[in-house]
Amino acid sequence: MEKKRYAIVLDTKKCLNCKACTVACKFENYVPVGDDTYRIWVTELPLQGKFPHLHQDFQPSQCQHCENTPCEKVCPTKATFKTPEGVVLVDYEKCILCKACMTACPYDARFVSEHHEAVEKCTFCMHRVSEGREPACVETCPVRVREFGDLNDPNSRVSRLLSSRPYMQLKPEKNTRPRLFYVL
Amino acid sequence: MEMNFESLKKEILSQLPIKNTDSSIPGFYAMDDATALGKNRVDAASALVFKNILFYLGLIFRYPTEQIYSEIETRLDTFTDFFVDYGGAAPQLPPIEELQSEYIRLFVNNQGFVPAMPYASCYQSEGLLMSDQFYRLRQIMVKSGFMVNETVKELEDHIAILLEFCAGLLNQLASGQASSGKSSGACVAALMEVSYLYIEPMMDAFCDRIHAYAYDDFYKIAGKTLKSLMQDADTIYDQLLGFRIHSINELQG
Amino acid sequence: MNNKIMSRRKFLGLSTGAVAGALFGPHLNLLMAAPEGTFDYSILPKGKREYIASNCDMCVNKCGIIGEVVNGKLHKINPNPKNVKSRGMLCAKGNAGAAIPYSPDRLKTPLLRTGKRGEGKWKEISWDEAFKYVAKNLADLKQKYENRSSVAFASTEGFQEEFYYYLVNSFGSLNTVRHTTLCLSTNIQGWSSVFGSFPDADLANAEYVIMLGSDRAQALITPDSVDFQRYKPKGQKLIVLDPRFTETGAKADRWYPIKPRTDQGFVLAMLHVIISENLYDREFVETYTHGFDELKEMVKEYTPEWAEKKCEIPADDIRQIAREFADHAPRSVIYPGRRSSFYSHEVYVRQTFAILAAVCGCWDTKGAVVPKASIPLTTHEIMFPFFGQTMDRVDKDAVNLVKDVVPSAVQCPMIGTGLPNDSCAFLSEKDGSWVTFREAVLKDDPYPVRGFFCFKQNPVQAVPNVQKTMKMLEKMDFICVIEQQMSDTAWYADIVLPHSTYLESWDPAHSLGGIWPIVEMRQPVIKPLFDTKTMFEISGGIIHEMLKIPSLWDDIEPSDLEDFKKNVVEDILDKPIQDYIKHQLSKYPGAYEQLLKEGFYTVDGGKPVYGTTRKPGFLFKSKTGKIELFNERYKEFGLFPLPKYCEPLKPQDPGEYRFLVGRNAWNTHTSTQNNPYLWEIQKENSVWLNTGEAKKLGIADGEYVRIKSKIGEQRIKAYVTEKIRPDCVFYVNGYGMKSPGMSRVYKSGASEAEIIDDVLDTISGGVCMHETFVTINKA
Ligand code: SF4
Ligand code: SF4
Ligand code: SF4
Repeated sequence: MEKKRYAIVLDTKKCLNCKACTVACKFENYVPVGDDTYRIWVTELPLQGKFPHLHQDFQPSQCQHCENTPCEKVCPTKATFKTPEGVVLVDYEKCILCKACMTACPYDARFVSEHHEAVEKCTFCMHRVSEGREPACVETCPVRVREFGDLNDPNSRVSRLLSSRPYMQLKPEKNTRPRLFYVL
Repeated sequence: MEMNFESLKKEILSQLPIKNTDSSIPGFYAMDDATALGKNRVDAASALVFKNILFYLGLIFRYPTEQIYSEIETRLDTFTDFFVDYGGAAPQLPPIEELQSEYIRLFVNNQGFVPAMPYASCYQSEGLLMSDQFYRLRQIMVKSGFMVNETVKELEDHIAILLEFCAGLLNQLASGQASSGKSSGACVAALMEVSYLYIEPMMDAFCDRIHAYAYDDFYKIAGKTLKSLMQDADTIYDQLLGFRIHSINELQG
Repeated sequence: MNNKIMSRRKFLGLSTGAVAGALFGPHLNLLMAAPEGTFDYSILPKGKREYIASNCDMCVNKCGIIGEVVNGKLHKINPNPKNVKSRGMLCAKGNAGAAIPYSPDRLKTPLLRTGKRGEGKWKEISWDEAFKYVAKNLADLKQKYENRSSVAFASTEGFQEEFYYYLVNSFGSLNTVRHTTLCLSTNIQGWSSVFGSFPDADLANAEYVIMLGSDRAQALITPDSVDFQRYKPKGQKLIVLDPRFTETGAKADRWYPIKPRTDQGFVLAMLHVIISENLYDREFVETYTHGFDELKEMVKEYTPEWAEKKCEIPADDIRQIAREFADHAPRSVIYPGRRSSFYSHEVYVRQTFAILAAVCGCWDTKGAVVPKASIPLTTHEIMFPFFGQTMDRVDKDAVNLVKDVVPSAVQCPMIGTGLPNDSCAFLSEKDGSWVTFREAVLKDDPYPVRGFFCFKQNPVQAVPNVQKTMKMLEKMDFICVIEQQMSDTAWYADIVLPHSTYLESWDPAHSLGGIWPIVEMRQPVIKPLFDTKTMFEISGGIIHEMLKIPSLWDDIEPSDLEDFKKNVVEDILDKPIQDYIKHQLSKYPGAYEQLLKEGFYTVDGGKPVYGTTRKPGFLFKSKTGKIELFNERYKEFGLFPLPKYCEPLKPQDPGEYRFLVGRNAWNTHTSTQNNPYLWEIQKENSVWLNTGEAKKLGIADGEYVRIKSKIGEQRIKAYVTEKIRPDCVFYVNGYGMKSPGMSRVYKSGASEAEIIDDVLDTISGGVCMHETFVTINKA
């Protein structure tokens, strides 16, 4: 069987800015309460237009699980690594808290966790995925902004979405080749 | 009661929940060998004294029912010197109604919040009850042969229970009970863990909050006494057990 | 360290003294010896995991949840993907519910007041003592006032509320007051005046949706908040009218910043277009409705040009929306929503909405507005005793009672407003109205109310005009509060009884009506942490003590008392609650087991229910049995039978803004802001102020301002934005708490109860939160 390539595809136009995903992730992954400790966030993009012709989008985001992985490259202890499925993870035991990866990450996806005593970030909830469950943020979202799945499976929801709709990625100029896709 | 220190040391270390036992990192749970080697016996008499002190402090941090109140009252004289020494003054026991409402105000329920939460968990991570460390505590207790009385609806990491638990462990050590079935090493390890990983980390905030919110001096002095007693724990355990584990303090920052 | 040992030499000195000899008896121990094998610690640290199905209680939606319990601790609440109402979602609050049982601020044991009210002096008492104390006070109140209605009972909806009513009915008071008038009573009344019931909207199948003043993206309602984006049919058009550019507005195909309090005008003009251009559903109107000709006559004057002047929406746009709405009918929705505690004429606004749905035939069919279906449960056939000493509701027919609480513009030119100013025309008997109830109690008219029970409601925070609520509490001889937290109301109680959290309780089965009807119940996800009980146990405990006091039963027939003991006490309250639940479900084999497993039960695989009323001859709950475009009962009561346009109250001074209040997706009313996981999302509220107005006032974004009404004044940060009209200001509720208790939100941001005037809608008794005018100044 061909190996899997995990990805998340987001349809942010549906996002309610309700923050269910951010709270779910905190509980699921023991992420401490705090302004600087989060694996996932929802940005209110700037208001466009003039009253009364207004427009506004909300953009949830998290670690982009870059295929071309800047954080992995700078890690001196190989604590940051990629699984065969392309999920970028941190081996907490190996992390020496040098924070090089935090500087290297163009998406500001990493933070220092008291719980793990290491730098951490979104894991695609691999502990859930390995049990056949969905990532917590995917599961809890009222409008299902995100789909999680295997890009190598042409019938997966992620593949179908990407083949049927145009999409963009964040900061393409950084050439990171993210595994997060934003359909338009 | 004689103990072989080397094997005891090994046993204690093996029981502590130490993530990183790498001895190359200085200060990590290293025994103060000079002190340790000098003594290798439990000072049973002192252990009983400490036991009684902790048990009495445990009573003080319980809700003063009539029974508890009168117990506190009758014993207060006995412990006066101790309070003066550690808390700077001898506490005056207010009338029972006052003490009860003060207790509730400080430790049980105030208007929507509790000023000095008596639970160790509340001083860890999110300030909520039953933090992750809580289960470890339950485990140590049962391992040491204790559990919360079935009629008591209270959580294991309530300060009164923690203090009573320490008293119980000291009693085991002093009376040699520990050797029957449970090992002294496990007993000492439990004592260290509860003292340094549960009681000690909550001391500053807990006692400072008592000081800030109490109307009456009674709990203020009790809090101050408890806090400085815990600051002195290294030396007390050194005295009682013949060695010290001072680096958990450092670990807690 | 060695210095310390020197300074503390005394410790050793003690060893020879009395301390060493102190003996503590074993009776003092909190700990006991653990029997071998008490706790299997080998399972740590990985732990034992369990998944337990139940339902959320962080707001009214009651979404399906699956608690993930590790070693007895609730680690996370997951959504239940199978629940047909919540559709597998769980919002921020639902997730943060996992912190609720672990809040150190919880009430832990019954508390009895020992100092003055509100002084904060308490003592712990046992449940037995608590039950005795409450029963004795009930007996005293009955003895003294010889009227069981002298004790009032307030509550909020919830699964355990039915057991609260066991207590109410066992005592026999008719004075109950619920949360409805603070929220949606006007909505229920307005829609029911046309269709006889309050319907849902089928957003998952509608082609055209108009939302007026509902922010479904933030004020989450299931399944609507899910459907309106997730299951939005291709090509569905969403029109949002709201003075604010809400998150819902951001999702709309078109957003109109409608002038506040003119929604009715907009819909009347739509009706004008639809009727004058013959776009309505003639067949539906003829088959099902009553009063079309009168309606036609009335809407003649409400042209789009007329409405443009009122609503500030271009006449052409109104015309276009009306045509599009009719075009897509019956798959067009004029959205009923939920909270409608906005304006004093709100019932007429909602009646207008309903009439629009009716004339276009957008009723009880796929994609329309659909009456709620429900799965009937078996109720316990019990009769509570008929007590001699029970007087009618205190706020019933209290003439002139409401004069002080209707807006002055309604009072003075009474003629033509269509609103009564002497009492509430259609007050629900059980719900009561907070504002009229409080007014009647304050006036002791027609009799004194001196006992107050409060179950999970916090009127001190939730009911506008705090000062009056405090005065009402001061009048009481006895106050008993059953709560989870020491709320501002509990703080003034004589006795506080701690209720278990929803994650620790067995809650009875409830049938939740809707297009997708469902039955839910709760089972404990974790063991109770403290000495708390559920209302089922509390009512049982109090009633048992009441039975020991003969004077409480001297105004009923002895045989009634025997029946009561048998049917209510022995057969229900003394039995395990599981028996109660099984009886509720006795019609549906396997339902109980399914509820244990899934937390919900449906018949027919949870399919939507349409068309139950679309049968010729179906009798609607109205005087004529038809859908009433012209309401015959309103006519009898001297109200407008047709929703004639009501002019809005105007600000008295030019510098005044209309104050609007609402909420966001991470808070419910005033109860959740202190949860650390929700608090971190928003630490204080800020007042929305239009950019142009801010400029005029010289206020910069983020600057603190003073917001002042005739009731009070608050200090709050300004959020200067294009997202709000120039004539109003807005903030979300639940901040700036009075009590230092809500430690996280204490004095951060502003509270709405401190500035909102207690204006009343006199048809349903609902409060009107958007009839307050404020001034804004630099702080
Ligand atoms: S988003 Fe940041 S943390 Fe995640 S893989 Fe890319 S560089 Fe690394
Ligand atoms: S996939 Fe898991 S870890 Fe990553 S943001 Fe979502 S919930 Fe958090
Ligand atoms: S849960 Fe979904 S809708 Fe809510 S903020 Fe997150 S992505 Fe947006």
